Amino acid sequence: MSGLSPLMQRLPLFALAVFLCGGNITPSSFADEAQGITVMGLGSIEAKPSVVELTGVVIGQGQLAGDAVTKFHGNRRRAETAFKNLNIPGLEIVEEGMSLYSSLNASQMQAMMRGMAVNNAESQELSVSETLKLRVTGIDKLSSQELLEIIVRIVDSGKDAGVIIGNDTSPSVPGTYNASKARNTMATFKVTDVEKMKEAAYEQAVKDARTKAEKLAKLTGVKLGRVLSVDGVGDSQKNTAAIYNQIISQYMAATGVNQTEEQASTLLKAIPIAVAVRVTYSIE
Amino acid sequence: MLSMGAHLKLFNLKSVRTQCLVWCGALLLYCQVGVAQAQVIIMNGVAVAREAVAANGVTPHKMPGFSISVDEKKLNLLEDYERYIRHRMWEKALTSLKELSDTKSTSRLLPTKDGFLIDAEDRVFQALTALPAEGREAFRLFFDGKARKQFEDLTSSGQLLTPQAIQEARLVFSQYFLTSIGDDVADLLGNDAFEQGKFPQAARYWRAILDHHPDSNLSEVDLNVKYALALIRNRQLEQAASTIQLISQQYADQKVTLGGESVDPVVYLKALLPADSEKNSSHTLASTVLSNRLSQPLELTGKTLQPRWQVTFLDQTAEQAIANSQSDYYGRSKSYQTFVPPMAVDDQRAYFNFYGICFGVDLQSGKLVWRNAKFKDLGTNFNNYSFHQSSNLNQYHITVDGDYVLTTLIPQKEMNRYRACYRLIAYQRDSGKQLWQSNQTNESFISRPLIDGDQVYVISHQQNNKLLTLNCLQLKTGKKQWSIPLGSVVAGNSSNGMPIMPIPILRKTGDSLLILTNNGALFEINLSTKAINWAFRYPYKVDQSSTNHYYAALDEEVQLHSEGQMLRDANLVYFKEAGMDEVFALDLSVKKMLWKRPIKTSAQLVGIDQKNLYLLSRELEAIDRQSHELNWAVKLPVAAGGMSALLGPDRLWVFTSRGIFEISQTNGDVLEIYRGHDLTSLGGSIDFQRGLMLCISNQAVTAYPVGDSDPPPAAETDIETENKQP
Repeated sequence: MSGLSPLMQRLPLFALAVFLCGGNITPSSFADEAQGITVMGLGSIEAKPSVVELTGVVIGQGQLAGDAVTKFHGNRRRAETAFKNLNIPGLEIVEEGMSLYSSLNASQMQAMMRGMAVNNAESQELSVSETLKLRVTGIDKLSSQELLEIIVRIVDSGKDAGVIIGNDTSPSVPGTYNASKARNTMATFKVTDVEKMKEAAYEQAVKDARTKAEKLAKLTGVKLGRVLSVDGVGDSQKNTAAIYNQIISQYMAATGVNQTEEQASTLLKAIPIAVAVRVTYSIE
Repeated sequence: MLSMGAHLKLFNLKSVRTQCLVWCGALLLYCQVGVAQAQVIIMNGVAVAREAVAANGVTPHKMPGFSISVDEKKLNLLEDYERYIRHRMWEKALTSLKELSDTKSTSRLLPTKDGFLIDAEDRVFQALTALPAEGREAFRLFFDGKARKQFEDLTSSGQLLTPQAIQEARLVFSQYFLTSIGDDVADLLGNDAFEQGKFPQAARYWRAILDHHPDSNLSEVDLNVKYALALIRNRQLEQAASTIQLISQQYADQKVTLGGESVDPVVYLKALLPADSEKNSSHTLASTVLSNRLSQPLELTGKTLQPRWQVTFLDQTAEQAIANSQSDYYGRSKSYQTFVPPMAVDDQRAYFNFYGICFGVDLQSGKLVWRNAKFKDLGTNFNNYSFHQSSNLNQYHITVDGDYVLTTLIPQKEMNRYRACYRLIAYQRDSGKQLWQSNQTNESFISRPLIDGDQVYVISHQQNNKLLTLNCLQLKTGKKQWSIPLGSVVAGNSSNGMPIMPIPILRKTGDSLLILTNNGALFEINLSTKAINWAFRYPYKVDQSSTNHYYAALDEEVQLHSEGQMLRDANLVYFKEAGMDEVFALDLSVKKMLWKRPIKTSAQLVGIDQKNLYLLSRELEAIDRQSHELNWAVKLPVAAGGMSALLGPDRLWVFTSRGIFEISQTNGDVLEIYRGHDLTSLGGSIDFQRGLMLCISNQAVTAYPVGDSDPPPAAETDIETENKQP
């Protein structure tokens, strides 16, 4: 008895919660049904990547600021020359911006992690760095073998010229392991003209929606009417990254930044451009 | 009995009183805290001020790092003397000076204000000659009569005849140089030193007259000519040239009598200078000191270098043992994977010291001539924790001269000992037969032995002691001839709890031996007098805390096994110590620091030419010798120890993990990359001998023929199967 009594005391509260939730769900379901048949149509177009992109970082570090700048200029010049000397058709170097920073050294980092006072009197190196995007276009006309050879030449040339190729694998805290940085992705493959492909995908998606709705109408013995509403859901990426992508896209649109026309993948294979539409048909 | 109201009033009164007491107490406490805080602030202020003074004007022997003992009593007297001079208290100053001269030194060295510790006698002389005019007058008033009397007794015949007389004349010179006979005694001592072939001393005596005796009766042109002669004989050609120029400008058309003949001094002196001396002198000296300078450019043909031979010394068992030492953390802090064995090379063979396994390889054929042990035995020894505790990879050395190959190593049978010592062992060059071994039970040898004729110079310490000793041994027997204690190092701690001893570098020029301690001191030793000429001190910070966790990331200098290095070009010495983030330039002729500049701790000096100093880490940096600015730097895929470079007339070569890089000396551009034949290695050291470019990596040594020498067919040697023990 003693075990049941608290449950009994909480039962009204639980019932209220269920009622409220039910109250929220039921009216909307009812409203949808009253309007007609709502279906989700999916459309997908696969395209071979036409661009491969590699990231390179040129850096100059020194105790003296003058040293850091001299090193940076030398390394930058050599990097550019090295890539140009490759004579790869379609290779372009895109400057992603320069940055200057001063990092704590390992002992200062350790002191900070232990909650100890950081000795800022110790000299800190100045770093001047620039990220370069190395883009090769027209790779859809190349075989995998030819493309691989081009990538290897760029990577080799970059390494020989002292450019850090790929994403930054150095741990943010010296001496620590970060699993997310353990794999160095060298190249990203991209499909351009995504908007055009999306149009084709939407066509497929609308057809798909119509087919699904007709099936449902046939099964339920009703006649499918006109389209009441269409909702373009957008990219139907089935992972959480899509949500963040949407948020970023919204932010970029709001801030006036051009939305990218490219879809990227770390795998060299056909990249799917998928869209989804939600269509509501009336019942006649 | 009190009523309820009275109780309340009493309570209130008590409460008020209590509150007053509490507030007063709090106020008092606050005031005291305030005073205390003020005191702390004031004390901190004083401390800060004192530190600032110390940082600016700290005397060399009190700088952090290498510890050199000085005669504190004499130093105090010197400080008293200098204080009295500042306050123009001449009588007291001269009394202190007399006491200073009469006090027997307990240490030969006294500090100067520019970082040097010099001979106490010279330091007192410096202090004496720094007297202002008023002080000099007082000095003569006090000592002229006495000095004149002593000098007359000494030189009744006008020259110094006996060693005893010379010794006494030196005393007169050091004590009474500023008196009216000071110049005469200096001139006599100069003549005597010149006749005995002691040219630096002769130059010093004559320079002293020219600099500090303006009222001398001696002929100035004669003194200048004598000084220039001493400089020429001492190969100080740049200074000699400038003195000749001074003579030609200030004493034009004056003649001097030399060897009974009246001659034009300028013509005479110029004839003694070697042809084109200004260009050649420094270059020749630099070439002798720097073995990595090539007079001709290397002619490498084709991007794919074909080796003449390759010897792989990294045995599978050793490789596995090294990997084990990383996974069990015993040797993680040592960076064994990137260790490149030291090499010595003569005209026939190259010799290596790989964790104590020494072997000789024929240069032309690549055949293993001898080895002192089997490589597969390394695996067993690597499993001993004691070995990892005792090992210091920079302490393995090898050198060859004549019939002898000298090595420092932990013998295999001692690898499992706690705090094992590094022994000095001599092998017969042709056969690898062991000739002798240092047998002191607790003595550990830390520097690369320097062979000079029949002598070996090497630095050692007792295993539980940090006092460094310079030893001179007999090459044939290994017997100790003499030794000099240098001072004590301040050593850091390894993650195994053992002190990390610095590895001193030895360079010999003429009669003097330079020793870079890699711990904050540079010494010059006079080998004829077996004494320290001078020491140069600079702050060297050592982290003595035991916070080296086995899981911490290895520093770049540990991964690259960065070593301290010292390069000499005539009288200019450039050095950068291991574990230090500064590079120094010194002018030895005037004992002066020319410049110092910050540099990466992991950088190692690898070369010098007329324009630049070259430092290698994961980038190659060219520092201008004059302006000490960075002329250029180039990033290189350097991943292992043995950092070195070959310097040609206009380009240099570095052996990296991605092949041999040919780099322009003008702007650091990579002109060519030769991938070579050791593709899986991490790179390492590079050398050139007998038409072969030798590349020593962490796993193999590969010889590439250079130029049009006719190569025999390429040979690959597996070190275990090819040869037998001697």
